[in-house]
Amino acid sequence: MNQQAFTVMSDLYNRIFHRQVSTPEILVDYVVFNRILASLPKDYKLPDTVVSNP
Amino acid sequence: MKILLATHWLIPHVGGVWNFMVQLKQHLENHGHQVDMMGNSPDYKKIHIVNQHGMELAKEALLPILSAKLASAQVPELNAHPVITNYELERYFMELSAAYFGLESYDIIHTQDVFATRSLSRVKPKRTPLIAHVHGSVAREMMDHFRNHPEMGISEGSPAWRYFPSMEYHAAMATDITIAANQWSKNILVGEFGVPENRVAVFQYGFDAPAFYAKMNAGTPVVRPPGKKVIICPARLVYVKGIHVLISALEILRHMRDDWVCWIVGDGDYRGQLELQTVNSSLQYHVFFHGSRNDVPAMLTQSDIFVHTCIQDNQPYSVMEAQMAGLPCIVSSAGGLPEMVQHGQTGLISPVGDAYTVAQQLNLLLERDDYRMRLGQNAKAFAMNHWSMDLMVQRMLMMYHGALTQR
Repeated sequence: MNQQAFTVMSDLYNRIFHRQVSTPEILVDYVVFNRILASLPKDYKLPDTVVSNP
Repeated sequence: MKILLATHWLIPHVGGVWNFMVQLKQHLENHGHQVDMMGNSPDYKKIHIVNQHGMELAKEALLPILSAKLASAQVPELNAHPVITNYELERYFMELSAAYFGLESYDIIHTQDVFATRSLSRVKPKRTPLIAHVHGSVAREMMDHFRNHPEMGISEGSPAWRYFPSMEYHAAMATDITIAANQWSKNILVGEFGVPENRVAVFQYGFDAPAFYAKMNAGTPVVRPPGKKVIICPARLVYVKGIHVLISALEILRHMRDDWVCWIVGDGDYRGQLELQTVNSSLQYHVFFHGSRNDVPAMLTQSDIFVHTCIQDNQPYSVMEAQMAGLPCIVSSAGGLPEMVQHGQTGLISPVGDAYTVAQQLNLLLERDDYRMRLGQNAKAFAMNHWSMDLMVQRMLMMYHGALTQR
């Protein structure tokens, strides 16, 4: 990751996970994740339960 | 149109899917379209659009959050086996990277494997058609791998075993249409994985004839030995290519006649074992390992018979090249090969693993110059039409336009 990146708590992006868990110690690049979240479909979730639990 | 070609595999890479993508891009661009290519970087550390400078995202930017939020405590099914965990994480890297790059500007997304297909189906705009190409069967290869490696502890019916067929099915169901290169591939999707027949189209690969003939005419320093005919086998030296069957056949052939040599062109993990088999069969003055070479087209002009005794293959370019060079092809009945060679017209087909039949067929073509040359001429005439790149690109564009029209 870019050393100069502005990082924020990963919990800000909990909405893309089926089972939400607080991980305040994990930081992510704010610019990268805002750009990702802006493009993802509204109903996008991880994991992809259809194939990950065959 | 603006088209995205995408794969889970490494790009750039040697051969296979990468060659297909490069040729397709070039020909689509000749028709005035714009084409990007997305995939894993050669070091597997990032996802990138290889032809767009700066369009890349390192996996290390995504791994910590994914590992923490998708840990066993939260998602035990995802962590049921490391095989599932690893493939799924790789897919999520692609999904999030594709969102990062943005897919809004593409008119068509054309994926090249089931993982990229499933991934991009989940993040693309709903209005954008998704067309998938299958270049083999990942699920079949993985199931064979699990059978051959019982130490992995993946038994039939376990989650890791079921994962790959499930991926084949759900990938095909997420597309506008899936394209297979032959009926064999389609039959696997329909018969083994339950994909409805009407979701799979079949048309063969195209072949870049002008580029091939330019290489063919460039020549090679390799010269055929005087008084001998040359049997050529260009292939990666891995088990599935069945070179061990060929060497067994050559051992039988040596007792029938001595007017031939065999050139094996390629490299791979199996080379040492094959060289040992050659020595143990006292074939070291008949069989020559040339390693990987980029003058195979010119070597074909120095050859008389092409042979490919593989255990499984889809639609190998080596057979197309041999046919374009006017060589008769002796091939096994594996995979899509019987759809490439007409027995008795453009070559001869033998059952998979049947070294004795291969030896008999080689003997026949070495004995009968007129028959051998007739098969070769027929093969060339067939190849010039059947493997036309223009035909494949036209069919692809029809698929693209058809998918756009139905939206």
